[in-house]
Amino acid sequence: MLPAQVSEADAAEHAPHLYPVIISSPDSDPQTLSGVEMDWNPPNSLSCRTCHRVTAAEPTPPWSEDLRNFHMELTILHGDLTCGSCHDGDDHAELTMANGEEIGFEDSMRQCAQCHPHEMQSFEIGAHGGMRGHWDLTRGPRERDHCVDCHDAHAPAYPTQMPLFPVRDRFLDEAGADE
Amino acid sequence: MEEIATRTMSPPRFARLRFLWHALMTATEGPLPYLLWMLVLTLVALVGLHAWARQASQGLILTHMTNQVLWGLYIANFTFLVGIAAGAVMMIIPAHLCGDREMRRVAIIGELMAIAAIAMCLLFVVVDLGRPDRLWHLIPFLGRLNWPQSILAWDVIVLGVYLLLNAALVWHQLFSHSLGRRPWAAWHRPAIWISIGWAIAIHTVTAFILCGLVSRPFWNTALMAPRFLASAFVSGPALLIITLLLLRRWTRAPVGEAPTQTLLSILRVTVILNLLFIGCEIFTVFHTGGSHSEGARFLYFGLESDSSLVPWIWFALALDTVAALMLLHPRSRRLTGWLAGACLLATVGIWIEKGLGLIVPGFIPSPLHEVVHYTPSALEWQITAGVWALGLLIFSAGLRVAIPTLCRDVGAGEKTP
Amino acid sequence: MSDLTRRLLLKAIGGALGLAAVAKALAPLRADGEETTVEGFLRKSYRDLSPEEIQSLIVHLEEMTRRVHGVDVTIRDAPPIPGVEFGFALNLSVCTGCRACVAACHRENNHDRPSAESYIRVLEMTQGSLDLAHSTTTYDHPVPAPGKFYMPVQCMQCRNPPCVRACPVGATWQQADGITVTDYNWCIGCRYCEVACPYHARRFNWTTPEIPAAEINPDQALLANTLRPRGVDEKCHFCLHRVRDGRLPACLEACPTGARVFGDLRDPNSEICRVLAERRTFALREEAGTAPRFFYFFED
Repeated sequence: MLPAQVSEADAAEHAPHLYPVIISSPDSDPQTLSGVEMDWNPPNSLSCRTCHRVTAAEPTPPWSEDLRNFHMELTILHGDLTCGSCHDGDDHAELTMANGEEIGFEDSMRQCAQCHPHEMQSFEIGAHGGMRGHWDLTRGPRERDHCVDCHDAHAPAYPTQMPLFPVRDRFLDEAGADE
Repeated sequence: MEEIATRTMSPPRFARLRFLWHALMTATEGPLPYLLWMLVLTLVALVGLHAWARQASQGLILTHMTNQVLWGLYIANFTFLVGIAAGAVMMIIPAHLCGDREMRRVAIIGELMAIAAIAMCLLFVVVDLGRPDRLWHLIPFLGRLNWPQSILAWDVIVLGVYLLLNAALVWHQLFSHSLGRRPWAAWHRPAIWISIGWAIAIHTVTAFILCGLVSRPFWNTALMAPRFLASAFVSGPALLIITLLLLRRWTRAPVGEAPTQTLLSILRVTVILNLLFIGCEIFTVFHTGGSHSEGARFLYFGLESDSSLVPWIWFALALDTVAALMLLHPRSRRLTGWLAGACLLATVGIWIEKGLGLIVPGFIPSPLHEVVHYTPSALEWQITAGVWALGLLIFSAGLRVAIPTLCRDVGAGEKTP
Repeated sequence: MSDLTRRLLLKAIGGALGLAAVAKALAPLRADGEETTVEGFLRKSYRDLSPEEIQSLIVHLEEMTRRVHGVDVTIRDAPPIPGVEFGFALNLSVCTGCRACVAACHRENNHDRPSAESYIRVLEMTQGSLDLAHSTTTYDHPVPAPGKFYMPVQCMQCRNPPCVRACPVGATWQQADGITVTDYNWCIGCRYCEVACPYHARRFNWTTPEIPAAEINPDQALLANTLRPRGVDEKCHFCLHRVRDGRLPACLEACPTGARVFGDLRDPNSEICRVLAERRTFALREEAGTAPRFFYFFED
């Protein structure tokens, strides 16, 4: 989306060569850990489509016991969404938009944008999501993070963390600070 | 008039060198107490010099200043001493604007004090610099003085000119005296008038350094310059009275009562004015409240866990008040220890409230509201003592050379070498 | 006559002793860790250097880094790009207060290691207040904490910079792309610029910065991240050694949530211009009249 927009805007100009904005692409083969022992390698990590190509996912709500027992490491904390809200019922490696359009994982940002248009707009204006490289695309490319680089699609809340790099000024200590 | 001018402009050959030699000889000898006093000052100055050499070779890390408390004891003494330099003008004004002949005879003491105070000011700036080796960058034309934008550049100019002006005045008077002549009025009188205006200028500009900053609400008050002047006209005359009393007691210098009484009259007004200004400041800051009063809150009541300046400022206010009461008491007119004590209390009080009590609350809390503790390090005290010793050394030597010229009839006192 | 001779002799001895004592007192100056050369002492301000003199300064600084630290660095002279004016914006709704930017700045700009210096300071603010009196910089608990938001503060690259007006020797000035730079070879270390800054954005080198050779960032430019001497002031320069090369600043690249927006204020299609047009931004301490080029905004 964004790269297209940037190149359009500049195409109107006498357009010097522009380097691309590269958005990192999510894994197109989502996997999960199952509690079931398997003979093959890797033992517990399964591609969703391994099962769901042949067994249609039941319209179970994400908080059901059954679902959690099998999909061991799969925490689903994404509003009221169920698997079928995003994944294609027939092929879990495909995504379904709200209007039924099937899209690949490489386009998954469009799917996020269905419910999070404001965040998407922030992303477009560079105000949300990490980036690296060049501000000036005539001099070099820019890399951008994808939604799922930070937000687990199944439990998207951004985690808390300990802050890095504590302040080490002389004579400024915790006791002296406000609170 | 014409004839005097011609004579003054062409003194005998080598007269200046001879006079300089004579001054050097006079300053380096004298009664034992004088020599001991000078020896002690020299030793303290050497301690300070050594401390400064350590600071210059390792950096200001040896002080307890931080990125929050950027100026400390050095600049605190600087602001106080600019006041002393400006306050000395309280001898010059009666002497030369009001025609007080008694005062005119001793006015050179005020000029000497101004010279010593400005010298100390410049030294306190130098010891506060991170790069003393780049001091020359401040010299107009040679360096790159950011004038007229920087108020600090203005201050460098006004302080430098004030030092040169007073040095020239003192030199001219002493040198004329050594030739048995009167100062050349055509030069001397305008120079005196300029120096009076300039004394006001140095203190006003120094106040502007602090009060012209949007980053420091504690200093950002139009009362800063008037307050600086009021306190300068307390501490300056107070130190001069102490000097005159000491000279009367310990030397045969012909210091009459009248100049001291005149200074006391001035002091009785300014000491009240100073307290009034402090009161105005306290009312405005605390009645208004809000985050702009945080610096004052830190100073008077302590902020968060830091109340390090609270005892000091109340002590200083007590000193100022007691000094005012003592000065207003009729007993002070007797020019005894009572008066000297009152002057000492006033000077110490102002040294505290106009020194650390003025500088540090500008930095605590910082613009990001960090509360960072500051107490001067031992090295800062050593350097400060050293600078004071050097200043007193200059003042004492100056007095030693100048006192023989204080007698009533110009030219009749000391014989030329 | 003999009395005069005796007195002169005594004074001469006293004077000689005094001079010896002065020399002794000044002895620590000889043990100075930083070398002082006549050339360095006499060097002119960056703004007065000819292109050849700038080249020789670069050679000198590279050589000194090699000799003192044993590290090969590349120093460029990076003048402003014509027609560009840089701006920064920070999305307070996505900043988590993790201080990754602070650490990145510290490494990128060759800051003193022991004091953990950095051009950025992150304030933990209390929701419901923009009064810095309710903030703290020393927070040490998982972030983002409930009821808090985080406001990184660094140089605002003011259009009306109080620090530039304060400097008595013109060692800090604003360049054509809006970046206010500092000449580390001209600053006298009076710290008046830092006193004048309403954002606590400037830093003083209280001692010669200490950095292990392996950690020195060799990608350097004049007026930017060259190794600073002791006793001079400095500040954020929007990573001019990177941004004048078209690259993004180090703090922005380090930001995991992408709270930071950087770009050319004169290019209406730039991200910074779109943020300024499409978000309700504000400047910190706008009432100070500094006219910052650094903006903050909330998403909602």
